[in-house]
Parts: sequence; C-alpha cells; structure tokens
Amino acid sequence: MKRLKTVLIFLCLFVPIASLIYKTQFLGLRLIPKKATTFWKVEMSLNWDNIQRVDSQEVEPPYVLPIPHSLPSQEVISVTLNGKEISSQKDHMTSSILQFGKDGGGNQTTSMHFDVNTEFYDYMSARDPDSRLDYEDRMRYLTMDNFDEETLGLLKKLSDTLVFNSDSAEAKLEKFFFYLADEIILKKEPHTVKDVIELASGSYLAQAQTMMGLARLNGIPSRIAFGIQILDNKVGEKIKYSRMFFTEAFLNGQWIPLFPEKRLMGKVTGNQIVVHRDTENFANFLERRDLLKILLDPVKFDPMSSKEQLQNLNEVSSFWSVFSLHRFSLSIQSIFLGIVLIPFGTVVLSFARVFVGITTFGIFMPILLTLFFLQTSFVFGFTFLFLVVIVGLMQRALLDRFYLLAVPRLSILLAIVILLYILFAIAADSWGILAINNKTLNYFPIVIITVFIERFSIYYIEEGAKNTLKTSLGTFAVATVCYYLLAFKWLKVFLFNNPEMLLLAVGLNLIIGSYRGFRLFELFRFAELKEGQDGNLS
Amino acid sequence: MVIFRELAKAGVLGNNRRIRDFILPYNNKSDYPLVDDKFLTSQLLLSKGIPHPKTRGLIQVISDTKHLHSQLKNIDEFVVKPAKGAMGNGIVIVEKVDWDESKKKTKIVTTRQASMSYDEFVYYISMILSGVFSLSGQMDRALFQEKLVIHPFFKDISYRGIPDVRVILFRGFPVMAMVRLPTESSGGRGNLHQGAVGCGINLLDGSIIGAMQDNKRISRHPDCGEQELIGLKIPMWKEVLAVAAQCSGLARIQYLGVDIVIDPIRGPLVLEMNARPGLSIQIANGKGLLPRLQKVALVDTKNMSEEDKIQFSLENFGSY
Repeated sequence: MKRLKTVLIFLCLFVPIASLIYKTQFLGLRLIPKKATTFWKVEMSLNWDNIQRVDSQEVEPPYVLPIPHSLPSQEVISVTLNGKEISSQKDHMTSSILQFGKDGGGNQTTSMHFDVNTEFYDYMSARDPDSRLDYEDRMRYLTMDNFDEETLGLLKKLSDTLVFNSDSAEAKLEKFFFYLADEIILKKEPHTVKDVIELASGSYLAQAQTMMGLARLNGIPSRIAFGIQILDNKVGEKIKYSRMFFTEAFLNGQWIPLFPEKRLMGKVTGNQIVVHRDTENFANFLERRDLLKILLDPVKFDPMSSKEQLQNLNEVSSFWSVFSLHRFSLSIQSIFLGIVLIPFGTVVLSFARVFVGITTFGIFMPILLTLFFLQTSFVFGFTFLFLVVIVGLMQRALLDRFYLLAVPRLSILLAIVILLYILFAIAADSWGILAINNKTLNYFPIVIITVFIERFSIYYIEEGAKNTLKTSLGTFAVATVCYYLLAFKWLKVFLFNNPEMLLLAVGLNLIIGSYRGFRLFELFRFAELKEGQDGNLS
Repeated sequence: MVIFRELAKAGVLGNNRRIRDFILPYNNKSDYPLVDDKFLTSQLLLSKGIPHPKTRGLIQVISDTKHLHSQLKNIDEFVVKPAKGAMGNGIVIVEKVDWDESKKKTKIVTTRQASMSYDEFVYYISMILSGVFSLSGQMDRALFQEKLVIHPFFKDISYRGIPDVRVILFRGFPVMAMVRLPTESSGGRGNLHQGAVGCGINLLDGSIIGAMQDNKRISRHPDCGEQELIGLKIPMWKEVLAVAAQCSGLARIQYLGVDIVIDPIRGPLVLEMNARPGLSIQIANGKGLLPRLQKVALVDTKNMSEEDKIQFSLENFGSY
C-alpha cells in the first residue's frame, strides 16, 4: 500500500512537471499563450437606414468604415467584413478605409468585426523613428484650409498667448497639450473649435481639431485619429466605452498620439483602441452615433487568443491540441477558467486544517464562501455576509418562539436572505458605496449563504459565542486566502492552458493527507505538556 | 520538525496521528453506527447485561408524539437525547413535569432553560428529529432515558450536571482515564472544550492526579470553593475499569472512549461510547498518550482475558 502511494505521489508530481518541460523545451510552446493584456471584440456597422435619410449637406459622402491595423500598442487579430475575413497588414504609416456612396454599393448591411489585443506603449521613450514625411504629405498635414477665417484668428491669438516662437516643437506641443488637459472640459455634444477656445469646453473631436490647428500653425505636421476609449475597465464590471478623436503630431520622425483628456502624451494604454490614424476628412461622419454603430465586448479571460493557441498546438503536436481547453467556445471556456483553480483552493484548505489546525464550519464551507466572494466581490460578499450573520441570529431568536418545523424555518431564512440581498443592493447602489452589476448580484450565492447562516446559528446555540467566533475566524481566514489564490488571474490562465497541472493538486493532497505530525495550533493547546513543564505533577 | 520537538518528547498524541495511526487503521467504519447511535448502543449494552441508564422511550417520527402528553403524566424526571448527537449537543434534562389535563397548562421544568411549555417541548423534539444536533445533519431519533443521580462523592466538586468518567481503551487495554466535572462556564455540561474541568486519574487506584480547564492546569474546581481535587479517589474504581473493558470487547472498536457515570446504588453505568475520543485527556493527566498506545500495539493479545488486559494496564500505566 505504502509503495503504491509513493508511486502515485511521484506520478502526480512528476507528470505535470515533465509535461511542462516537454511543452516548453521540446515543443516550444508558451505556458501562457499571450501576455496578460486586454483583449477586445469590436463590431462596427453602418446604419444604412439612417444614412439614406440623412441630409447630404449635413454629412457629406463618402461614408466610411475604417479598417484597424496592428500598431506597437495593439495587435489586430482578425478582421472580417460582412463575415468574410479581410487581411489587415501591419502598417504604421497609413490606414486603410472603405468608402461607400449614398446607395451603399448595394450592401444592405455593412459590418466589420475585429479582435484586438491592446497593451501599454510609450512612443516617447521608444524613440523608434518609423517614418518620414515627403513634401506632399507634409503639406497635407500642415494645411489650414479646413479652418474658417474666424477660427483661424482665434487659434492664432491662443497660440500667441501659450507659446513663444523660440520654443522647440516639443515644448510647444507640451504647452498646447497641458492647456487642453487642464483648461478644457470634455462635453459629449458636437462642438466646434470656436467653442473650445471661447467656452473652454468641447467634444473629443473639437478638442482634437483645436490641438491640430495649434500644432499646424506652429509648423508641426499633425492629423486627427479615431479610436475607442474604454472608460471603465475594472474586473467584473460592465465595460463603458466611447468613440474618441485625438491628435497625432509628427515629432522626431514618428507620429505621437496625444490624449489631453487622459493626460497621456505619446502614450497609449490598454484602454485605448486606435481604429484609424488619419480621419480628418471623415471625422464628421465617424462622430455620428446614428450612422456608425460601434459595439465593444471584452473577451473576459483576456490573455488568451484561443484560435491562435490551437493553431500553434496543431502545428507542433496533435496530441496536445486534442487535450487543449482552447477548443471550446468562449462561454464554455469561461466555465473551465472558473473551476480549474478550485482543487488548489482545497489544497489550501487541507493545509490549513492538517498543518495549522484551523477549525472551520463544515469541511467545504470555506470553499463555498470563496466561491461566493468570487461570484460577487470580496467587499460586497464580506459586508453582506456580516449583515446576514447578524440578521440570522436575530431571526433565530424570533422564529424559535413559533415552534416551526425545520424545513419551513429554513425556507423563511432563505426568503429573508433574498430580501436582505435586495435591500443591501439598493442601499449600496443608491449611496454609491459599491458598484452593483450583474456580476456582484447572482443567484447562486444565496443558497451558500443560507446554509452558512443555518450552520452558524446552530453552532452559536450549542457552542457559545467564544467557540463560534473562533470557528468563524478560521472559516473566514481560509476563505480569504482561497479567494486571493482563486482570483490570481495568471495562475488561472496557466492552469487553463495546462490542465494536467491539476494532478499536482492530487499529489499535494496525498502528501498533506499522509502527514502525522503535530498541527501548529497544538503547540498552544498542549503547551502544558511540553517537556520540563510538568514538574509538580509527577 | 524542530518547533514540535518538545511535544514529541513528551509523547503527546496529535490530532493527525490520532486519526492516521489509530482511528483509521484500528476502528472499522462499519462498526461506527453502534457507538454513534445512543439507542443502538443502549440495546447492545442491554443484550450483554452491561449496566447503563434505562431507556424510557424512543420517538422516531413526529407522529410518535401523539400520545406523549398522556405518557408524561406518569413520568417525573427524565433526559431527552438526540440518538446521534455529538459532544452532548441537544441534550435536555427534565427535572419535573407540571402535568395538567390541558396541554396548554402543562409545564416541563428543565435544568437548561428553566421551563418549557408542552408545545415548546414538542418543537424541541421535532428539532432533534430533523437532525439539527446529529453528527452530520442526518435525520435522527429522540431518546428518552432515566435521569441519573449524582454520586455523593461528586457533590462538592461539581457545578450542576453529573460528572462522568472517560476511559480510553486501545485493543481492550485501558490506557488513560479522566473524570469530567461540569462547571458554570460549561453550562453544567461535561464538555472540556466548553469549559468543563478534566481531572486525570491514576489507573491503579482511581485517584485524581491533576486537573485542567481550558487547556490550563488547575488544582481546584473554579465553582466549588477550596476543595483540592488532587488526591481524591474515584469510588468503585475497579468496577469502572471492568465495565469499560467489557464495552471495549463489545463494540469491536479498538480505539475507544467509554463514558461512565457512577450511580450511588447501581455503580458504574455506561453512558455512551465514542469512536473518536478527544485528546485533552492528555492535558488532564499531564502525560502524552503515544508511548502507552505504542506499548499496547506491540502486546500479543492472544489468550488474554479482559482481566489480564486490565492487569497489564495497571502494571504498566498505573504508577505515576
């Protein structure tokens, strides 16, 4: 028996490690497919019904769909137009654009999908001149033709107050940048450059035009670029985003993006998707939400591009590609991603019980609580649990007087928990304490909470406050550690990518389960029995 | 490991080793129900003629309470226990029944919460049946037993409740014993982890050799004045050991805790048995269990009677 166990432990530890070595050293695979950045799914579509209705004077044709390109700050993975894949080449200089007349060229729907993987990139520190401007382009990026007399006058006046002629181009840009960043308020409605200068407020487009005008006046080639700004990208919350325009200025041989609103000069973060880099002539059209629709979805387990990973695997090993979880659809992937770490949570639990000697409510209650915290959020879950414990004790004191049978009483408890859930969510939302969304609110945790409170209140009656507190602390401590382990994205993706690592959890549990030494807390429990302390007794 | 060296030297049995080296290899899972269910235990004891508290009744389903009211008329004091309850959870001791024709006026006076109405009492039983107090929440039965009387010896060293003697037997050899004295903080119950006093006993003559409360050594009962505990001799000690040894042979569980109450008239009565006896008995005795268990593990028990085993224990573990 002992030999069998040793063999099993060896296998459980050896197989995963050997497979890792094999995959990395012999197959040349990455353990985590892509650097953990941000991965988005974008859909842009033209609304022909509205385009046909719109006044040609107001928004002039051609109507356009910009095609995004891979840049240092982003990798565009696949672009499809009306479901057909079109190539998207790496091209830092220009961007391509599809143009349509008013009739739409016979297309009823024109929609483009692309996946894009964004990451932080700093053009200023990169100092990697990637392009030159020929005379024609230089002239095109310096022309003031699109500004009317009055605006031109305003721009000149503003430029004179902001910069000196002797300033370097970089210093001038910086001064314009901070003027816009500090003085101008971002507003949603369409604005003109005049509004920006006179009212100190304007849209993305108007601000970008102002910046461009100021730069061009001072001999710095610049252009308007178009992209998507992700406004709120916290884990577990609904993504908010908006279309945006920004200026790119040609400085030291490269196009530098300027986002005064985000105080980002020459830097692009993972929250910015650059769709097109030269949109001056189409800006009015791109600004119209009713004509061009943009939808954005995060691919939640962002670091992976399953398609690529599978392709990669197929090339090197058909065996591993069969066993890859990447073969499943995204929704199924997210389920696996959620559960691959649970076995390691139970390793933590085993460790806490066997080596430390922490007592918990029930055996798997800490793991259930961890899932509850993960399903909601740590702060929300913890606060709610605390509230429920108090109310749970109160309800017991009340309901015990009615002599109800166990199952109806538990059902009442469930109803109370749900009511409390509603009240808590409303309170948290209306006071703006916690963000409430479909991630924090979920039906699954209700049952966990109800079972927890039932166990808790019985324990309280039988064991008294002191022991209940001790056990609660133990339960929460283990649940908290498990929470942070299970929320560890890198580890999750690693396991998802290499599911054979789960054998490690089995091996570790075999080892923990074989431990027969003392538990850490027994040092205190049996302190009186330590050698040399039993003097007066024997 | 270094930090545990002192405990290891003292021969302390830790929880992990208790489970891995003794409970799992020596106690057969299929034998557990006999000791986990107090009703089955009492039937087993009855069949072998081992003295134990008399069973007054058993309620298996809630409809069994139909005639309970009329039955209560003739009983005065009794104890209600969940058959599968652990650590004394859910036990109610009824001191008196103020019986009345109408159920509404009937009062049940208990030690724990003064008195219950008849409705409250039935509700309590329904809680027992639904498994609130049972080991893993399974459906349970409510066992009615006679209320035991405290032996005069314990009157001055116990706060309410009735003290019991816990003997740990391994392969039929008594290896360690203690007496558990209820205190105010344990609510009159005998559970050490709730604050009852545990007194280690010299197996040789039943004298108290040390006492503990909340894992700390003490020498007096916290609620019972100046009476020194150490040196007192448990009455009927030889009989206590004999009864414990009988139980061990009966239950087939090789690492066993037997709880015994000493009745002033009938002598030792087996209250219950435990297949997972706790470890605090070591603190009460100021001695680790491990060396004794290891010694017993090596004994060839062929042709050894219960008396021989007791004799072996007295010789080897008796002198302190």
